Amino acid sequence: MTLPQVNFLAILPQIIVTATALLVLIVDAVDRRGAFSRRALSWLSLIGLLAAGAAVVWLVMQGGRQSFQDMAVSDGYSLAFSAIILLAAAMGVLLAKDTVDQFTRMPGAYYALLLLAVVGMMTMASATDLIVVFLSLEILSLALYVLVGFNLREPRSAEGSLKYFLLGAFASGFFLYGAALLYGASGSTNLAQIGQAMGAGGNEIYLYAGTALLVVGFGFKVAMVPFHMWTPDAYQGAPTPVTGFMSVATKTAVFAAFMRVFMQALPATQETWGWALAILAALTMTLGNLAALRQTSLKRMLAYSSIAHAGYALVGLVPGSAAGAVAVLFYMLSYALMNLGAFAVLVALERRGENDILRGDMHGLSDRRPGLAAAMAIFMFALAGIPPFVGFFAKFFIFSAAAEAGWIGLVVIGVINSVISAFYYLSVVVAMYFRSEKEAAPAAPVKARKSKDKAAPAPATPSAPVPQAPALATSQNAIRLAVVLAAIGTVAVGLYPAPWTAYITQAVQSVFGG
Amino acid sequence: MIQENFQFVLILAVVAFIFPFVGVAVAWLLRPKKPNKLKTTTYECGVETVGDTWSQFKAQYYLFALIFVIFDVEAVFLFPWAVAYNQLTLYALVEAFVFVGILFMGLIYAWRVNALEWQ
Repeated sequence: MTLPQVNFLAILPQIIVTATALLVLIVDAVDRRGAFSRRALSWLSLIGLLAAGAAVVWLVMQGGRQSFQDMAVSDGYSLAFSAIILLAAAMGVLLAKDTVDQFTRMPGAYYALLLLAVVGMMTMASATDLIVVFLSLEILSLALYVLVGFNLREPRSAEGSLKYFLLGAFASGFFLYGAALLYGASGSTNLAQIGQAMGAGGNEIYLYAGTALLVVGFGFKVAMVPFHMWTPDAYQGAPTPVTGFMSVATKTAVFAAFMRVFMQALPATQETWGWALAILAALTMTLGNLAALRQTSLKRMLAYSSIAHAGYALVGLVPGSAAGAVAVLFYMLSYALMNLGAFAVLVALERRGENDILRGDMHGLSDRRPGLAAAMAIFMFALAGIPPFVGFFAKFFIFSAAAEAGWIGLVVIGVINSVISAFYYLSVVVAMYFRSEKEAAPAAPVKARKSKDKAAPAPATPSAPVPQAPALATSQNAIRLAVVLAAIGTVAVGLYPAPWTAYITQAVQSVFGG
Repeated sequence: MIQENFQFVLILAVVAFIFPFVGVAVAWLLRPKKPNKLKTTTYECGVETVGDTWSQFKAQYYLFALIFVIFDVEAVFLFPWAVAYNQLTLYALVEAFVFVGILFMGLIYAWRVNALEWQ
């Protein structure tokens, strides 16, 4: 018996990141609490991610499609998604570089889990077989469950982690059952072969039931209404660098697989799942935005906003067209830039022992830290979809792709939602620029800050400027770098979207045609 | 085709669902009914539980169980490899060592963070 030739080039970035994760673990294990590993771990992770990024670029320049045993491929589509995931991971490492000691005593485990989640995400973006999609879904989920609960001092971190884990395990079951039914209907787990079998007409009951279950599995991971219940708690409880990383990278990876599965394996029933997804998208956008209006905690607000953004991106998937896929891919790029930027600002503002920022904390920020306030304003404008920032074009492409395919009603709902969302994004800008620190609500003691959703009523005592707790990070250089990079990206890609869309269009068309 | 095979699974599922009910129902019809205090207790034999059953276990039990399961699964994966050892190429040999090596690194980490010590 001879084994078939194995093409390791197709999974080169994954191999590099896996090796880096193991190296981080070993360095941490050998030099525990040593001065060397303290600094080296974050650098090591960054270098590994950069090397993987270089591998991605190299594979892009090679062009063409490399297949790993027909299970995973490296093509323009998967590489574009991998690049966004690596970007998000690099930001996650930068944000944690100076703050990781504040929320954990095991920095090595933090970096290693982050890198392993990246491996799962990149594999998910390149999976061409339902088994591999499930496997990578599990790899990234298991790493994220732990990362969410990483802040041992914060009970909410554990709460979010447990909710995410219990519901996530349940959702994985849904996904696996859906994959089994699709296998029963078509006789294959390979996406292309399922597509062929379905084109020839398969068993409809298995097909529709399987499709619905897959929607549940994917929908849970991208925080789609009605599978979003875990999102606010997990995002708020998780250490802020983790929240930033997972909100962006998980969505990117899952949307990559979501689109590949539905457009490659199930194009025959697009009319049916298109309608189902359209309804879910409308629900997701509306509920996410309405709930975000009422939040006083910025992390929780961004969590609901990320639900809403999942809804916008879902609109691009509804028509099942190549134009829609291009729009979703561009949306993920822009969402990565602006959302990670917003979370980077939150990390910069967080104070020791706290894991959240209230809207009141933003009052008068333009006086205290003008640079940070300006950056936050850029991210908020971009998230609201105001030109010339990147968020505008992202929404524009999504809505025009949907309108082209005749989903006018859905586009109208999306535009109305953008207007609603502008209210809560801009209220942050108003707080930073038009409110002085004196009005700043509540010199609320730390305990009151930790209250749930609706903030505790402001104490009656008129607030004198509060002695501020020391900032979370002793050195903020890495965080500043992250903020600046995200801001530059948000503006630059917004002003010159052409080269990015050109590459993305080419990458998508090489996979889906059209 | 595969769908026909699935029909057997369906039949099996239905039968498996009904079977216990039939058994319990028949026993209920046939058996003599003479309850006494001892018979109606939950456990006729064994030790009575003392105190609240919702007691907390030390988290380290789970840690040990987890590490044990990892090596259990490792063995499961290595058995087929070992059985087919004679027919394998060098590639498969290297692959198995990579697999064991990765798990070994995990063990080293667990040992270094004192996960293997009873505290």
